[in-house]
Amino acid sequence: MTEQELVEGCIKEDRKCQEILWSQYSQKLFSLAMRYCQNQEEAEDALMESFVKIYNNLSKFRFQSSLETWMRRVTVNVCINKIRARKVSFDSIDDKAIELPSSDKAFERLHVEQLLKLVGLLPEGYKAVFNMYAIEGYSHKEIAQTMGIDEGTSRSQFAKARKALQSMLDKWEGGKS
Amino acid sequence: MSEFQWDHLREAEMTYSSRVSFDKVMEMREEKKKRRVLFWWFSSAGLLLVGLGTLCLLWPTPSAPLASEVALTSSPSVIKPSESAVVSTPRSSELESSSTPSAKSTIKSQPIVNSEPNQEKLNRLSDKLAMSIPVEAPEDRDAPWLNERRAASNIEFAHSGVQHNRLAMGNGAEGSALMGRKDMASQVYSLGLSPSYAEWLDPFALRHEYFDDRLLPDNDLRNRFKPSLYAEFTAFTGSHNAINFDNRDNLSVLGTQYHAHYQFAILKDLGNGHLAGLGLAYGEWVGNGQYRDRRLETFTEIDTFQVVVMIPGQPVQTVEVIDTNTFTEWSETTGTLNYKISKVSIPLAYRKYLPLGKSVWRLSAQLCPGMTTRTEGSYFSRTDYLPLSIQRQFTFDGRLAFGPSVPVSNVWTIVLEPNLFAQSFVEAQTRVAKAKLFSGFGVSLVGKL
Repeated sequence: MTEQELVEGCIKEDRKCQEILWSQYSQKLFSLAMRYCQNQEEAEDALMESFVKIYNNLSKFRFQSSLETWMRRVTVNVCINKIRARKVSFDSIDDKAIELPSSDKAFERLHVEQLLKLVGLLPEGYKAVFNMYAIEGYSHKEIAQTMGIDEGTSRSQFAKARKALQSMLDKWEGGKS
Repeated sequence: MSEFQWDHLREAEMTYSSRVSFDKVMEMREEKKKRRVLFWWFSSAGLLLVGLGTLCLLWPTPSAPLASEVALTSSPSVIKPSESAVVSTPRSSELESSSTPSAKSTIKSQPIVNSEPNQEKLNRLSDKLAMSIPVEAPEDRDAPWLNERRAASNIEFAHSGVQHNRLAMGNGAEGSALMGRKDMASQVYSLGLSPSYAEWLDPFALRHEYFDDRLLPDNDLRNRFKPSLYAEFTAFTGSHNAINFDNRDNLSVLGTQYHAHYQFAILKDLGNGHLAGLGLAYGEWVGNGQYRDRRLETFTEIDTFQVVVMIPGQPVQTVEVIDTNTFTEWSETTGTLNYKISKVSIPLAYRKYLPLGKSVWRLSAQLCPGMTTRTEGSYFSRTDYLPLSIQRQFTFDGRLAFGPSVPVSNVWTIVLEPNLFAQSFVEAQTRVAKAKLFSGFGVSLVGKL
């Protein structure tokens, strides 16, 4: 079944197509939600809410991007709304005041699971921006629009996230040597 | 970090618990559909109100006596040579004899020969007069004027075939009896001036006008006092403070919220000082404040170290130990909160003019269903704040005001009104209505169309 047939089937409320869509993407989207949410329960709620939105709005999907990219965007938006509902504060700071870590090479030695664990340990505000910019590939302008913050705040949150990750990694490395 | 690593993170799959399933998602969809129907009911109710308001505005003149008609019947003896209808009422001696419990009105109509356009208006007037006459009414000894009214129902309307229209009334008292009112009850509720019985009163005049309608051309009298539409321009403002210094609340907010509304409405005179209508309003609602968030936060600290394990007879081994400590402490964050909500609404307005002493006061009430045009920032209350993201949100406002009406010209009056204004909107994410009550002041400029 092609992507287009799958989408058309879902729009026609074909339960079989809807179930295929669920089984194909639910675990990927759950992994995405886990990176944004505080705990597993919240991520599971976000996953179900995202699929409700996806099924309800599939008719608006114009095939300008892949279906997965569109579904990821919907899920990210649901997760961001959950973070905002928790009243996470995003402090805007001057970019120049932050010392960026010298290189990202240290991260390369980590496994995906370890990296996910480290990202999960980041404070709420940084985590969302880091996930969106570094992993999902959003621009700072898009992040600012989605999260309702300034572009400068997005940049500074990302810089802080990298700094925090670097210090965690330094500890990790220090412990090893 | 390399692209390879990011791809791995992006493509990672994780297994969720058994509480998540496809069937559960479908159940959630059904629930949301039901809630959406409720939301549409809410907005449909707003639209229905607007429809009713429009209908009220376009509805023909009601049968209740309008200000002008009340004034007409309470006038001193008027004889116009150019009116065709002859209304004759019995004299007081006849009134007494005819005030039996079974007194019935007899209204005789004769075909109207005259085909002048004014005749139609006159017929409408006589129909209204006839409608006001009680057909059967019990005797009431405590209210002698009611007996007078009953007796007056023996009026005979006779449309004569005379070439000129004529409206003849016996005297002022009988005229008022026609409407079932005493002179004292036949008051003109004017916009801006206290009513004065036995006087002709232009609702917008700075001074009372005495004039003799015999000087007016045919039916000009009626046209002059024809109930009309009024244009109303209003600007009103208000504020609401949110102050919370209570340490028991995790989140406390200190801020002020203001609003300014500008509206235009068309009002219709419904008689006896009642006006109703609808219009269009634009409003801006802003809030500026600070928050203090005190939370017990959990921090995680990871320590990694190597432990050398030496067992006699065995080679030396090293073990990597990762020690994760979690600890909690109170953290306090402060920040600023600002929001702005702009909206367009359709006010369904009701006004009541009341003579109090020598001045006229106005009671205003209105309901305003509407829609936000712009929302930004974080909406706050004393103990909470909420980021506003969705631009279009349903709103419903209500306003109550009371203040004096001051005439400034023959056409315009100004009403100065302290007011209470309740604003609400449905928060689109949670579908929860958020509301606030503002107290403030408003000014209305009312003009006769």
